[in-house]
Amino acid sequence: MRTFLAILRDSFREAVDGFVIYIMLILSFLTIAFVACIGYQPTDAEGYLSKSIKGFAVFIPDKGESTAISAVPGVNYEATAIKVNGKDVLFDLEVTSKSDFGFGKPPAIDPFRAAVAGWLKKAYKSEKRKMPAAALRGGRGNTSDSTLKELEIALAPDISVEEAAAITDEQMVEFIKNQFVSHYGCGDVKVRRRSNPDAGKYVYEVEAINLRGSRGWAHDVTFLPWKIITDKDLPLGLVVYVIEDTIVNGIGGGILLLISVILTSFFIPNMLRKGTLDLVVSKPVGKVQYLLYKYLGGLIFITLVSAITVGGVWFVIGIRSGMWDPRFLITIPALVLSFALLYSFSTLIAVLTRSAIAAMLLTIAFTFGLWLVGYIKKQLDVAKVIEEGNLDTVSSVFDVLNNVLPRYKDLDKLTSKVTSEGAYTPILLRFQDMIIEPPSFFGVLGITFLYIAAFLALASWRHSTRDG
Amino acid sequence: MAVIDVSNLQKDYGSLQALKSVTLQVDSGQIYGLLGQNGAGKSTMIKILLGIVRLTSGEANLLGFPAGSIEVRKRVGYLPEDHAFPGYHTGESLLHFYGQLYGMNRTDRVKRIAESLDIVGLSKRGTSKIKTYSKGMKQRLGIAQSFFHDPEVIFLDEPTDGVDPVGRKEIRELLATLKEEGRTIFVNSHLLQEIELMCDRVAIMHKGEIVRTGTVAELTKTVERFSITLAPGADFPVAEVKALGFKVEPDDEETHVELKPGQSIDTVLDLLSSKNLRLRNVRESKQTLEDIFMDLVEQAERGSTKRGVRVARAVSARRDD
Repeated sequence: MRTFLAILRDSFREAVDGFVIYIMLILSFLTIAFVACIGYQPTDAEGYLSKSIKGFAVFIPDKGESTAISAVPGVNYEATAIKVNGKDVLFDLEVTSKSDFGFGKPPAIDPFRAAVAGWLKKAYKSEKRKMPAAALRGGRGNTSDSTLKELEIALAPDISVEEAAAITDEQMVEFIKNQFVSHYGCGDVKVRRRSNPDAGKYVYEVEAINLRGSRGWAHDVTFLPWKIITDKDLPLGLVVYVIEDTIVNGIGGGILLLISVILTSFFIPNMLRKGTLDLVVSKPVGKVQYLLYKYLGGLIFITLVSAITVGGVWFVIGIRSGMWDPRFLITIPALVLSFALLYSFSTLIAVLTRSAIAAMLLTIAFTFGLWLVGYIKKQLDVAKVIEEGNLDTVSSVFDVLNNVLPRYKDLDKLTSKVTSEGAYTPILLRFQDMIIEPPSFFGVLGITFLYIAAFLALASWRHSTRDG
Repeated sequence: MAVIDVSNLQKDYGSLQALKSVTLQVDSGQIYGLLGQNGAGKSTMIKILLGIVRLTSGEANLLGFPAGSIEVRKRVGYLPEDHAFPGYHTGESLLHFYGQLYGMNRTDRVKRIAESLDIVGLSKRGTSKIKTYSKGMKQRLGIAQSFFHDPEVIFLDEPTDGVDPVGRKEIRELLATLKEEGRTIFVNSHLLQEIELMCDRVAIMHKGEIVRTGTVAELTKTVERFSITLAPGADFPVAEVKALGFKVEPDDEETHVELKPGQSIDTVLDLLSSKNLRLRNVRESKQTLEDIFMDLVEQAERGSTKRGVRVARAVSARRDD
């Protein structure tokens, strides 16, 4: 352990002396400062609530736990008598339930009660439908950067008259409360049913605490004093997700990895310089041990920088938006793992060539190659759905390539998925999960670790068998 | 027991034989010099002993353990030729780093580092970055790092390289002190005078072979040679002395007489006395190590290294006796 710490400290000295760490910290600070300049203003309550409350027609069965979504036709939701108290909203929720809408068999069923019954049900039949090509081409949310699959939807539940009739007032209140969680991510809601004015209409008095600050509420986006996105009805969670996934994990992470590859590509060749290596390996430390400790030193260095950057961004987003979900922090180990893969390749090249320039350029080429395979595979997956499988041969080649090569881009997709789980509302997540096939978690991690181990094993073997 | 014990050591780099069946023993408490031209194989041999380079065949043991074992490296110090210390360290921080690799605790490190830097004259620059050091200062730091952890054996590859004459003298004195403390010091050098001045025993290496070993005195006494000066006006009887079987070389006022094995200078002196030639001066002129080395190199270049090897074996056998 003492040896490891000594080599770690030595790597740190090298990084500090070469201004590597200062460059990284400045970039980290600039990223955090940039994100801190972004503000989020909740939109007008009356307008947005009136529009968005209609979405309550869609619900998640199994009390919001199912992976499917469903809807019962004939139910309309209206918000009236809206009062705003800061971010809290008080209003009357009027649910109009038209039994003659066409749902169910005679005798007619109250659709609202049928929806509540369906929400309570666990078992759902599902079917697969093709996504419209226009939706695929146009891209929606992060689908333009993901593997698309056929849309799987839950069929309307088969509710009997007795089941619908058995729904209690408490179950209806519970359903409405859960809809606030599903559609807005707002869990602190008081719902009280008013006396029923007429048949087929339900009126509830609702007090939603911090509804306007919830992740499902539309927000305008500002940069310093300037409004840059207004009147787009973008939910806060979606905006935060785009910042976290696109700006930080995507662009920021890419730049961080690129700069890290460039700056750390000098570490191993410097260590292997004639006259430097001899001094160290004549000490009681194994050649392979020294190489691997140097590698780990680089990783810890990047872990620190990633933790500062991502942690800082998470903190300022939390301060500015009130969203403190920690799942965005998964970006830290994801960036470290991506770097671990690239640095293991860089280490192998450095050991084989002893050239920092070769290690740097080949690692950048390797990164670009992996990205390109992932990108082409994504395009082919989209094309496959649209063109109905006319690209089988080319697609198979890239499927195989993507499966056997390190899953650099798939790792990015997994990170995006976990990040979105911390930012999206449950309804938005269900839509995403229905159309985006996430890569296998164990497949991605397994093959990535396998490559890291293989690169390091080759580097260690070459280093240990090489004289001097 | 020999501290360094090398037997039939061979190292090939592809078709190039860097070491050709080298056999060498170094006893404890000596300063042992390995002399040779650049590329003779001196550094390769040290690197094999330290496990930096793998041997092709033969045996190499250090302190009774196979060369290169981790256990042995704790007890050994090493200054490589062309060392490149990381410029981002200060003298002190570098020694702390190396001390940690040796497993030294902080208290010992602090004490030993201060002492060692003081010994090599760097105590005032210990906290300066190494990249600000002169070549001589780096060399002195290199020597400090080779002994600060209290090793039993110290390998120094060209230790006086880049050091001024005063610094060289100090290094020689330091090595003498380290020897007095019971350490064994193995010095590689192509600087003949340095080896002659500091080493107890010497091995001469040429093109991967040990061509001669022995003490400096032994090596420089292999040929007895006398310089004789007669009183003014007297002529040296060159022909008569040659007739007695001696090799004679007149040189201005003095005449050099070289003895073959079994011959005595007394025979020549008796002849001069019988001819009433008055002597002014008689001195035994030792061959320098440089003479020996140059002779051996010339012989080797002429392809006559066999004689050198035979001589080396004879010297080695005599030492073993």
